[in-house]
Amino acid sequence: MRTRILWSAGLTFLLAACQKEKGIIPVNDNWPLFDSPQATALAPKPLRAMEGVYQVEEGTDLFGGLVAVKTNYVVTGTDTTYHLSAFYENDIGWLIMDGKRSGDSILLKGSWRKMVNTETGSVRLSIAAGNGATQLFGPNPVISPGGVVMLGQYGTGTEVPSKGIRFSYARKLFNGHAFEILAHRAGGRTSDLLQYSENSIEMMRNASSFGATGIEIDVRLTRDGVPVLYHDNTLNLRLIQKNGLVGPIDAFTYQQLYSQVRLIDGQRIPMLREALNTVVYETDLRFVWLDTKFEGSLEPIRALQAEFLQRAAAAGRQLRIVIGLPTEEALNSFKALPGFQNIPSLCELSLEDVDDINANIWAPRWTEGLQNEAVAGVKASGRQAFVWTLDVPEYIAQFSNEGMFDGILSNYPSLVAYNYYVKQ
Amino acid sequence: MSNNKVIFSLLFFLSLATSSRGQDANVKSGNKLTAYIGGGISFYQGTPGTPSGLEATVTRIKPAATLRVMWKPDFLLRLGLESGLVQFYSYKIDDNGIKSSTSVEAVPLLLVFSMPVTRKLNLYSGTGYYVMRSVLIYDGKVTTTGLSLGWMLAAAYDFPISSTLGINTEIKWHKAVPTRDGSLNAQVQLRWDFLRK
Repeated sequence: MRTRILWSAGLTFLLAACQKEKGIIPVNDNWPLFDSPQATALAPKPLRAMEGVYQVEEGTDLFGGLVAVKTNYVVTGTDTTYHLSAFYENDIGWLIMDGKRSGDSILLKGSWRKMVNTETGSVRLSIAAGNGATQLFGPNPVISPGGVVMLGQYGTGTEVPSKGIRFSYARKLFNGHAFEILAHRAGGRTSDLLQYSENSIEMMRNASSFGATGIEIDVRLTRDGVPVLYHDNTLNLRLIQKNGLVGPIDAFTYQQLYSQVRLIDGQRIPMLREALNTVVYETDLRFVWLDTKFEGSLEPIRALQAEFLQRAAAAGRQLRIVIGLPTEEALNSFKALPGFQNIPSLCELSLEDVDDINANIWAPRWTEGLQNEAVAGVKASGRQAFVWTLDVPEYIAQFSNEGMFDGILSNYPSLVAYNYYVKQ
Repeated sequence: MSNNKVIFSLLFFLSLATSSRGQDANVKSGNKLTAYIGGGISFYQGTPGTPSGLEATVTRIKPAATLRVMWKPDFLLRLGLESGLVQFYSYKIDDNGIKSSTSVEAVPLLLVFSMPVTRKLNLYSGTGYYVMRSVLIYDGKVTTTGLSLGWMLAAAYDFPISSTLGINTEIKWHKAVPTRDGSLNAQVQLRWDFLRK
């Protein structure tokens, strides 16, 4: 009997341990000075001038030795909101802040997050006039090492920030070669632990604050031929809120999905048209990888690709949209498009296929290794090479430092961003 | 820990305890095949999912049916297969110009183990697949199916009416795990010992 009880207790423990942690812990963002009327909106120029690699002189327990600080923006209606993100290596962390001007100082308020667990907390930073704010407000700010010092505190969970932070400007962000930091499923596995669903509009709007310069999104067709964003081939509770519906997504019309199905965070399954519209007009993303998850004619997504490339150009956006071809079936459907050799595309198959369709990008999976020789050959032919889907921190560092790829697709875009920007 | 896991753990404890009791009682049933066929009522347990932001009228009480064949050897542990129909729940929406109805049901395909606690009281547990079926009536009608792993636990009391027939009253818990559907059934079944050595 005792053995049975022990077995049962063990089983109960295992069942409890399988419970998935989900959700983001609320942080303490009540900072009276930041929220006071004396603190006014900060123009994008000083925010952009803050971009750089900073030495962490205090707060290394959380942030490690270096942080890469980068601005990004999102457009809501007629308002453009700028954020300052900091990417660091420790526990795949990031810090997203808003900036304000208070007198001759700069205030930064935000929250940090680890992607290896659900730990999060608040951050309050300030840059005093003597610590670089005067320079940042100047007409042409040029920052030298130590020229900007951010001082402040951080807290964990809902605690009031009290642990010291000191970030000191070390150098410019690396920008040695064109490189795309691509967020898997518009934001990656981060969406498992954040408030945004993968392949959702809100995830796209926030992707660049997680370090992404571009997104990979999964395209399927509804029964009535509307391209929508959805990864799996069936409705399931990993991706949608419970509504009783089961079965393949292409059994439903777009109207049925729109009215009856909500993504896990409550948003609706977006049409590809909505998604591209968001990227062009509401984000600073510069690359979109349309991963074709369906069999059949690619005409519907080709038409949208062409339309939104034109719209982006008209809006003055340097945006690339490529049709991703992961399978032989998708490749054959692509070849059926008129003028396919001139359509921007990304091919995950062989180098012969890449040549055959004149793909702009070759994208092998990361498990095939660095392949520097093959990548060099691809580049010599005027194409680019991306690698997918790289999530292991050691390999992200290796591919970033020793590889020749022009882009990395990852569920942890902040870590790819860190590894790229801190290079010298 | 979710309620389902607590219930599962408690039932696991219970099954260990009762199997011990069955062995002590030394109940033997002979070597035979027995069929059970019947039906009853399904009470949906848990939260029936409906589209958020829309007012839905949910029906949790539905009909259910069981077809089960058990091999009853000269041991305490019996083995069998079970199928049937479990109508989990349905809902109607009449909100913001959207009028729709959705129903969720399943055909269980389960490998079932059984053990007598007394001569008339039997416990059943089963595991396998539930063939889920959803029917949506909105912008046309869509009937879709999918598979969901799941399990079943039941307690049944048998009233013999002849040497080969009996009336089985059964309380049964169905659980389709990935789709998070659960139902408590109260059923009456005809028992028929149709092959006996």
